[in-house]
Amino acid sequence: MRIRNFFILILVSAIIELVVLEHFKIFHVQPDLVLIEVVFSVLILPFRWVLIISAFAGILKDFLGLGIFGINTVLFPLYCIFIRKLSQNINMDNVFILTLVIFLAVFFRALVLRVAFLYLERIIPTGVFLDKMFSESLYVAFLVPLAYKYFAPLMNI
Amino acid sequence: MFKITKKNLIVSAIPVVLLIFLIFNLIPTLRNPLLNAFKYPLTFSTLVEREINGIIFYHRNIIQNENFRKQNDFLKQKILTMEELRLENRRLEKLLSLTEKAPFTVIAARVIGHSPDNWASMIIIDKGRNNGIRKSMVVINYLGLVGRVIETAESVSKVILINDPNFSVSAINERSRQEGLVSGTLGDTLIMRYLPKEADIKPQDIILTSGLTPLFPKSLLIGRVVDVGEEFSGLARYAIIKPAVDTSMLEEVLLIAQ
Repeated sequence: MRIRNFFILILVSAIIELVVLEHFKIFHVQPDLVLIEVVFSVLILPFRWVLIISAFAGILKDFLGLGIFGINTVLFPLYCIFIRKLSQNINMDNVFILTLVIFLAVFFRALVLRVAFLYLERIIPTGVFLDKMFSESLYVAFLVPLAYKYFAPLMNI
Repeated sequence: MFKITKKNLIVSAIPVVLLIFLIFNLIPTLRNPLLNAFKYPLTFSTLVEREINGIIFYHRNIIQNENFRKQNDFLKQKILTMEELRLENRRLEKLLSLTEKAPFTVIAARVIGHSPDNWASMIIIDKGRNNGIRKSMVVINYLGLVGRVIETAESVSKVILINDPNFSVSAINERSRQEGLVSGTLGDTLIMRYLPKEADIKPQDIILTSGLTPLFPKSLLIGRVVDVGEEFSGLARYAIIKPAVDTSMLEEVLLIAQ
């Protein structure tokens, strides 16, 4: 039941990102709801399903966007493995730690994209890149406490 | 309870990697039906969102409507004057025995989705192959160049916008006829590169398509120069261009049917 709900939630979030979040842009960036849900799924679902859900979310995100090199398809499952590993050593039920982890996840993806753009010889001015990287990371991190309120009952806290 | 052991990790990773490769291999066959499946939820969500916006901004819309009517009357007058000039131009062209270029036909489309991430600039439109849309078609609106079709399905298409870093088009300065390559930067501005050091270009110059990029008609408005700088190497210059089209406000677009 929970697994099916996660699939539906990710699908709905992807449509919201396409249609609605354009109007909720702050400093030209919109939050990544799918990433937040993928991270929360690590703390709620069995790991086998987490990998499937993260791959599904990554493919969906790359497919709906331009997704030239399938970055989300690769990064989402990797994030899940990393967070699972981390959760064995650190108590991830703390909202501040979760916020930090998601902030770093968005930050790291931006860095990977920067390297990819450089490799593809696509020009993004450093100012625009830094602006987007910090704004996106902060915006997504800002939404984590709100998402935590929704997901906390599912995490048996 | 699932524990991360080396064995479990390898057992879980193999099907995921296989799934990813399988899906990437199947993408050409899966993409179109998947993209089509998203048309109706996206159209419905856009419809609901517009209705809600209409209710919330009712008073603003009335005032805007009045302003637009005034503007419309003014533009109608302007079009009449332009029409006179066009007819005069046609007569002169005939006199000079110039070959008249056939005006292009356009297909109108509605925007039903935007880019889901911040590192690409694209839109999804409600027309596809069934409506005569083909890959690489040029997309414009009444203000100027918008982008290019990058992917088509039966009833929807993806359009890469002018400010995406993967978008480039050959351009020309209207005043000095200096050519360069305009690319997107993901920001509010575009960059015109490969300008020689002695290039005659200055702020407020108008930049148009040069017609050298295949499928892009000549003289489509791209934007205005806002700044000129020198490349790090010191061998060339670049110009920062403010695009004529605000890509965040697109609702309808026109596709040039070549």
